[in-house]
Amino acid sequence: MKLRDIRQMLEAEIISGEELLDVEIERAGASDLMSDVLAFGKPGLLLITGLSNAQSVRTASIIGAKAIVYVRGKKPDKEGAELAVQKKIPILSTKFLMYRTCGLLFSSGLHGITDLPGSERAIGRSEESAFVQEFGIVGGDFSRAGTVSLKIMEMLKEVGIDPAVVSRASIAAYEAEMNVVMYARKGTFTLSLTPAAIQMIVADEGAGIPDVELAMQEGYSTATEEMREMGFGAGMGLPNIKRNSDRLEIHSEVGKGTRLAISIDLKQSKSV
Amino acid sequence: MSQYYHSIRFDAAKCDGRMKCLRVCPTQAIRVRGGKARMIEERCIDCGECINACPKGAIVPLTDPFGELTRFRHTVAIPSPALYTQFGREILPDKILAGLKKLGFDDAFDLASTCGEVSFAIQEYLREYKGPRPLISNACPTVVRLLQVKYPDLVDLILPINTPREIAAKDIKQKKSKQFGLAEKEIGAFYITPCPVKMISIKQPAEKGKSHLDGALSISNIYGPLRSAMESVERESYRKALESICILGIGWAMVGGMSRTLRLRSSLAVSGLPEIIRVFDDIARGKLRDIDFIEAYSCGQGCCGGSLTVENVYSSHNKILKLIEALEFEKIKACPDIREVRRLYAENYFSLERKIEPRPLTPLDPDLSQAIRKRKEKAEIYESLPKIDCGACGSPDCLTFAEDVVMDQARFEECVLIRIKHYESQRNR
Repeated sequence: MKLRDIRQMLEAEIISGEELLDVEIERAGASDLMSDVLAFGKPGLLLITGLSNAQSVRTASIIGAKAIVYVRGKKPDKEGAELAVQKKIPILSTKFLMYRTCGLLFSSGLHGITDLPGSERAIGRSEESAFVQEFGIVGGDFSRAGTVSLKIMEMLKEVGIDPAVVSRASIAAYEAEMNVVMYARKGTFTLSLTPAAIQMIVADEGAGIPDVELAMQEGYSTATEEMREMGFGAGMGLPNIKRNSDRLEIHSEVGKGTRLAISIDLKQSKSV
Repeated sequence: MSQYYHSIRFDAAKCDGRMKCLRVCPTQAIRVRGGKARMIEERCIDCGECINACPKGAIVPLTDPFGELTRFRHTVAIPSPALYTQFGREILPDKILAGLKKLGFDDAFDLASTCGEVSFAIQEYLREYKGPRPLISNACPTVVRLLQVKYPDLVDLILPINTPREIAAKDIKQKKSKQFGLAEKEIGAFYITPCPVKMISIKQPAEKGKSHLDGALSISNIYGPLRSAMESVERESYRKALESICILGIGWAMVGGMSRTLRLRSSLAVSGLPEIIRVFDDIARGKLRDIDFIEAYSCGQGCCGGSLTVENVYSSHNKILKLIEALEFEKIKACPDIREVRRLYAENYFSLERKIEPRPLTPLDPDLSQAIRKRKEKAEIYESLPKIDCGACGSPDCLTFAEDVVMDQARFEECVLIRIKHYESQRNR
């Protein structure tokens, strides 16, 4: 669902980010408690809230929300408004109350956080049916590099995932794992498997990617000569992950680290 | 009746449950229950590692007895080139083939020449091939089965050129039936095999067709009689004997021998299952895709290291190298006629007769959500295990034991360390 459609449905006023109305929204979450948003929020979220100060914009930015809707006709304060422009997070303001806002969006088919396949921090029922396994990755440890993706490959085979899908997941997992080994100090790799999707969250503490768009280009690499001689860093990592997954979300902060959310659907998988 | 034919039998009377086999099995296909080893059929890829590991000789390779020959009006021995490596350096293929005839075969065929032809045929195939790489040789039936079972998504990479032994058997039967006016089924083609897995590739080919071979006799079984039989064979001049050896085909008995004939930009020659698994794991994760061809043999050093051979594998390997050196030095190039090979190639003479299909292992559950639940359970059980992979429970390692518990094939209390802990906590109470 496009943000433009959401605006229309909620009869909302555009506070900022008019040029971003064509952004695609896949899921929404509503809360006035920013601690809950931090705990359960997911990248790509539409944040619905009645808390209109700068803190809400900051939280939205941290979780990688795509847009904010303020309910009860609320407007951001000056600091929040400026931050939203700077972070390129569009803000809408609707006259409706929170309940009606959510009801309208939900009944038009917009998913909540836990309704989507392979939710990372799945809560409630979906948590019981998900198989979640976390692995640590040590940066620079080339002798053990690749062991996490190998284990994941085995697990997927054991539960009977289609071999072609196992293959895609293994390639994506391996590339993501190698990125941590090559460019970060350390990282965690979380596999979450539900009947609907394979999700792999790879978060590292490292240099981060200054320009994600550039890094997504095939052949672009910042690998050292030495790494290339070892057969790594041909600049195919991220493009390869994207090609082998159904959804890829990248959040990177220079000097802090990178977080990849890789999803592969299990019901109707795309062929490469 | 089971779905899979295996060329390995466990003799329960001899087995005293010492678990050596359990630990060497690369596909976790063995369990020891009630003090006796048994095989999980769908997991076994017939590599024969367990045969060599068993201290009691309780795991028996199933090859054909010599008496099988009497079923046929005319019999031909087709020895693996690995047989040529089993004797002293002065004994060349011509003498070995003559010895086989003295043993009772009506004829003996030099497979190295067919290997040479197949080398040319593979060259032809690779030249036009534009699909995903690397292609993987199908010469070793264990490797083919490993791919079918553990790497179903890589099965499409298996080279669709038939093996020399099958091509030779088919050709021999056609020619002999014309020559002697016999029906093809009256002619028995017997492979002299360095390993038990060739037996299965005859009884149950990976591609589910029908083998042209009628049986397999093990090198170790005929070694003694053949040695004696060769004593009365008059030897040809060394030079003349050398001249009959196909320099392209002779190397097929060792790892790397095939790829050296293919003139490729990049190829890998791998032997030994742990190494092969490492390479296949890499391919499965998208690596090595710029390699053209992979030659892989489950036995170390290739067929000359087969579990049914007699000679020390390094001596065997060295013998082939020296033979190739001698042929090169003498400038002997008894190669097949490449134009003839091209003509036959165009007629699909070398093509694998059927497609090889994957046979992935049965998942934890046919229903995905149930399978995921069981996988979760397996992880939880594994976490509570000692993780020392002692195998005393009868499963090869703790992770496999956890799976066996989930699948009701073992009970949690069967873990020896868990039992000790339980006992100690009882005593301290």
